[in-house]
Amino acid sequence: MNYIDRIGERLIVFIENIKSFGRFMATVVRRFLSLYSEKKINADVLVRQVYFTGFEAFWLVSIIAFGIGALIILQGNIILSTFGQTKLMYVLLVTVVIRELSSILTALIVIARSGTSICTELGNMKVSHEIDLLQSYGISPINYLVISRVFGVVVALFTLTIYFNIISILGGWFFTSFFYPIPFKDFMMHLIGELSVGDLLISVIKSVFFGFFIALISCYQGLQVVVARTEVPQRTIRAVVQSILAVIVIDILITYIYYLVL
Amino acid sequence: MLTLKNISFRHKEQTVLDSINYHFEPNKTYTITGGLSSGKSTLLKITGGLIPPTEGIVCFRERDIQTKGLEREIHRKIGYVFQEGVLISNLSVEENIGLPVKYLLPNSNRDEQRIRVKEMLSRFRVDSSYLDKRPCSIPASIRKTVNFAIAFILQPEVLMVDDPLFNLNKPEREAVIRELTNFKRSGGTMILTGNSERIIKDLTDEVIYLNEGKIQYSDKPELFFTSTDSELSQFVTEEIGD
Amino acid sequence: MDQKTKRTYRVTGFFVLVASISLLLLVIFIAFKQNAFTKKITYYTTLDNVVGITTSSPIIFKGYEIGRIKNYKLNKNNEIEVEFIVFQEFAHLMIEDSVLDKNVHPITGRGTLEFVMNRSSDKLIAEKSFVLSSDSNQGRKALQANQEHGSSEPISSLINKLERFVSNLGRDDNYDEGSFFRMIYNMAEVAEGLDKGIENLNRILISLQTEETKDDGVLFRTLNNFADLAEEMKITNSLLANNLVKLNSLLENYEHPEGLLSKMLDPTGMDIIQPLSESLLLLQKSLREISELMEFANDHAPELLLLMSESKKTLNEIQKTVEGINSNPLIRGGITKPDTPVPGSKIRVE
Repeated sequence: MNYIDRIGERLIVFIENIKSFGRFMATVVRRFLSLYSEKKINADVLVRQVYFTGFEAFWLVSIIAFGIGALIILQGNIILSTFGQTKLMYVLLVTVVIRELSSILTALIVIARSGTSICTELGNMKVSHEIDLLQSYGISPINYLVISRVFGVVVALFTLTIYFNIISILGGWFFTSFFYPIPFKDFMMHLIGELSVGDLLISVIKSVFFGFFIALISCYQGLQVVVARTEVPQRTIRAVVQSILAVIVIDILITYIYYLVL
Repeated sequence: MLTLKNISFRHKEQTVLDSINYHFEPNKTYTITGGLSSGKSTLLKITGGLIPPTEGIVCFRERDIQTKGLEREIHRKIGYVFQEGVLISNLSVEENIGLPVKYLLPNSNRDEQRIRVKEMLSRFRVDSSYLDKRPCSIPASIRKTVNFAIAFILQPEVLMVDDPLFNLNKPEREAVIRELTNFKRSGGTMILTGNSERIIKDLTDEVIYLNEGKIQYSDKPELFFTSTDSELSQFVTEEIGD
Repeated sequence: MDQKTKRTYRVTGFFVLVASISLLLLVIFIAFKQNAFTKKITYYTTLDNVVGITTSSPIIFKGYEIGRIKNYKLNKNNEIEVEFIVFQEFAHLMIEDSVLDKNVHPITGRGTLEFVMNRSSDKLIAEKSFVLSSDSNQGRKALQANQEHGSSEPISSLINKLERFVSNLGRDDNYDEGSFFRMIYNMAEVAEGLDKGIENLNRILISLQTEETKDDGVLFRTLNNFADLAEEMKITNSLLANNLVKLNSLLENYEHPEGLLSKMLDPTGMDIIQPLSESLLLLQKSLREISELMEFANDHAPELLLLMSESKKTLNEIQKTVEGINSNPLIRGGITKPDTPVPGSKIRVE
């Protein structure tokens, strides 16, 4: 087989994978939209997913958010004070942390914790015939396993991103007060002067899309496991890589659309 | 009751099942036998609607078993027990029983349900101390008997069991055979797989011998054991036993 | 539901609820702070370009946000039609012939529209009316008029305001898309040009005083030099006046300067402010001497009067500028916007 044949073959496999994922996504969305009438969403799975992905990651996210807020102020102060533009620190905090880093970093934490665990869990369920068991009860694995997880991760990521924003602002204020003793109220007034509703909403809108795709990719890769336990880690690696790529691509798309609309 | 129409199943390049046609009558017990990797379990899974065939359709009362939207209705009537005891690993045994009961019997009386669950667990010799345990912390044989208990709690019309006696200890085996016999007597349809002589002799009305993806033989068990076909008699001699 | 599950439900519910309520409150608070719930009145203007301007760029009056840009589009005349809103509470500022003056911050690239109110009238304009912008000729004239009406401080306040000017250099008011560095450069060049001009003038005057009766040829040469000098000064004067017009509009609207920039650019005032004011004073002094020189030339060579009339005009303009500065450029019509200088249109004496 020559080189061009190999490229062609890879391309076909790639397109097939995209089509397969597209079909999976369409099924999940269709089932999700018909949930209200069918009430198939499993509250227990949903709540557990939000608890695991959201609440249990809260401290990790908090520490990172506090640190990032502080670091931005620290670095920003060093650079901006050299030309008397320390006022721009608020702009920096809004543009860098709230608009970009909050959703991206939270998404990366969720990929590392929950994306991997969802993929491993579903992969192992597939190997141990638990998916078949659900089907034998007439329970759709998409309804029972995927939708609740996707919805759970979306809710958790959305929530974590809000906490990230709030805590990074606190971190920012805490470190600002090292350089200039500034009351929290004044700090917030300056910050809100630079912060628009759009900035805040764009960060949570991103988190919803990130959550959706991270969970969807992780579930999809988990369910792609066929029989062998050795497939599980391989699929998990793929889930992580594809989730990170998806997050970056979606981030660029949403940011582009945001600036296009404005 | 159940009809297999031109069923084929291929996995990657390998043909597992090749154009199988068969009709399962109600109130009868069928046992699918065959050598290692002959496709017994695959045929049972396809018949039970767990995996779609590559070609052909399975009809349950003249309706395609894979029809979307009929899952709950069909699986309410077909009970399925896996070869190895399978339970959802992140739910306790009690939750594992509750999941299909809640889903498939949503309108039944809670108290009656509880009584039936308790009764079924004792019939299959499942100790109530296992109820709040996770599947990974209980023996495989108990997992399988819990599977049986769940299947019977749901009161199916057709019961499909993949190798009923696999992984079971003697007391549990006896309990399973006793319950399957009762089910048969009460007019239930059963489709079993495996090469257990006792199952074939005591329970089966019709034996299906699967070889190289095709049904090679299908008749009464008496004739199965006395067949003159050299290949079949060799299989009976070598593979059938307890 | 067992205790553990109950606790999970409670914790998760609380976790999600607190975040959602915080977001909601923050959004409402920001929207409130940014006048999202205030009644708004729409007006229109046109701009040459919208560099740095977005759909939420503020309309500023005396450093206070009184409105915001709502929308803009490019029309067939290649102008940008801008729709903007003014908050109800500031509707009383919308007086006829008020002007919007576009500024772009050179570091953040953010644009603002300065609202320069016409104080000579009290006639309010209707909703959806057209408001002049400094990108149009009419707008520029109105801007100048509004600014001249706006203040009554003496020349010393100009020097004081320069401190603020330097701090606000970030706000670029240069029509032909320059930056504040260009403004600084222009200022420095004007000051230097004046210095040179005055130096030359002194030399000529000295040479005239010592050689005036000896040789008529000297007079011709002197007049030739003088014409060159006058032309140079005419250009310098145009630049000076131009910069001072810009200076006025910059100084007008800012109340809270950031001190660091002025310190960084001109910490002692020695680089720009002092040389400029010194040059201006010197120029004024020299002008009187030039007048005397012209009178002298007129007496001795009346046929040159015609040739000198152009130079005389230039000198008048310089006189006007300097008078304007000394008496305060912001009032009494001290500075008129200069015509663009045409280099090379020098008067030559055969």
